[in-house]
Amino acid sequence: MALRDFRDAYQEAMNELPKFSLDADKVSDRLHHQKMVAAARRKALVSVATAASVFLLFGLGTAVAVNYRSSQLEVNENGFAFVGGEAAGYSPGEGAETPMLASLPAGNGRMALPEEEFQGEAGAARKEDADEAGAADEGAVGEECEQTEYDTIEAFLAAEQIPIAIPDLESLGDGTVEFQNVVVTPDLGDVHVSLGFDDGKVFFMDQQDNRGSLGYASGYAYPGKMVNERLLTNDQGFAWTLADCERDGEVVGICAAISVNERDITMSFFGYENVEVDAILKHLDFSIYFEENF
Amino acid sequence: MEQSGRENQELQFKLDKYSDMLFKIAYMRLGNIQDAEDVVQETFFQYLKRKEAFENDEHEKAWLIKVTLNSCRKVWRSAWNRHRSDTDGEASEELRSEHIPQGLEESVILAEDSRLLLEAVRSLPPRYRDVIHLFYYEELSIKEIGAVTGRRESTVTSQLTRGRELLKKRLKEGYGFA
Repeated sequence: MALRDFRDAYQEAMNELPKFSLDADKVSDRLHHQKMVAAARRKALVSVATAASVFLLFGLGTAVAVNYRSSQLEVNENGFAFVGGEAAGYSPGEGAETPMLASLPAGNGRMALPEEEFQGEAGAARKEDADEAGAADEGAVGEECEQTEYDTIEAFLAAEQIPIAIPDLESLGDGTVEFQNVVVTPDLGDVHVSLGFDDGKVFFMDQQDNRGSLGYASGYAYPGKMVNERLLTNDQGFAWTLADCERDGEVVGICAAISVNERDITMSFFGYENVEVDAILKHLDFSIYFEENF
Repeated sequence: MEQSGRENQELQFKLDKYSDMLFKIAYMRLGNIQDAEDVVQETFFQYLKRKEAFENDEHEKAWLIKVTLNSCRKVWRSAWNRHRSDTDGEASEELRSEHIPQGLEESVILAEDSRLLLEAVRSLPPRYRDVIHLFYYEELSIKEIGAVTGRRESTVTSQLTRGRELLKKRLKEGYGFA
């Protein structure tokens, strides 16, 4: 029996798909584009393991810089929670103004929802619903924070003077880098690093610079359950908090968080062995956070 | 106003020429119609922002494919999707069923052979899927595929070979690969 030519068959099959067309007005409408990107970002951030942060800001009538060194860090059911400044033990004195909940603009993964509303997947779904509703109301969504995006870590390091302890590429994987990307949000003091290798390893890092913050709480939520919480002390004596991210009974990744000299750092490792993650975290040099030039 | 109208006409011409091609690339990469449409829109938005002229039509086409693939990676860097897709290099039943385009399945009657063929290609690991699609559907050369994917020609060749092997297995030797 003569074999059918794959090229002909594949082309025929592809041509059976309906023809896709796009209207020029739709593309050139920048506003539409921005809405699309924002909606896609929100959708992605509530459903995947990238840093979907819930920010809860405390503001006082008279803001005074607090010289705190690091945040309190906890592992909860769905992720990490940092509480910094005076937020953790905050108790307004008599006659003091009531702290206001200040909502950050939506976008960049920051969602201004009280933490108790963000519990598990149901919470994430509620968050998505809220975002969808917000997207329909431009006034409620507000403007996105300005971001700078770099295609490589190297380009980011060359262009920015932000102290950040990104593990060496070689330590993160020996496969071919399939994607890498760094997004900087200056207004929020946030840097997000994504890196993926062709052997399936994926690494995410998120750093928030909270120097001078009066007080805040932030959380990083993952799509599964946080289990097997543990500590790892690195070569310089800093203690990482680690946990496995489990979904449907399967460990899908290893997540780590630490607060160093007013920077809150989370790292997520997918496709890595425990021993590999431990080695990366153990040897990461934090001295850059203590250099005066920054 | 007149200039804007002319620009829109020019853009529409490009959209008519390339959007379906880019959609199919994105769709085969992402397995999701909505994401693929978003990627094509994003690609043309980048096209609008581009200031440099293209050397020729081939350069323009290669650039559009490259941006489309890059945009797909951005969508695809979702760790969760990534993890599921690359768990063992073979698509799980769950993943395979998710990759069947629900909208198309309901609204379009694909011949059974075509459906099985597309499912087989979609079930390949992404790096092989791109290469197979670009080689057999877009009919790009190894060199051109290397240029748009940023991979070495030797890598493209080996991925094409490996992709064919996997397809042969999955299609039960029913097709000849030239």
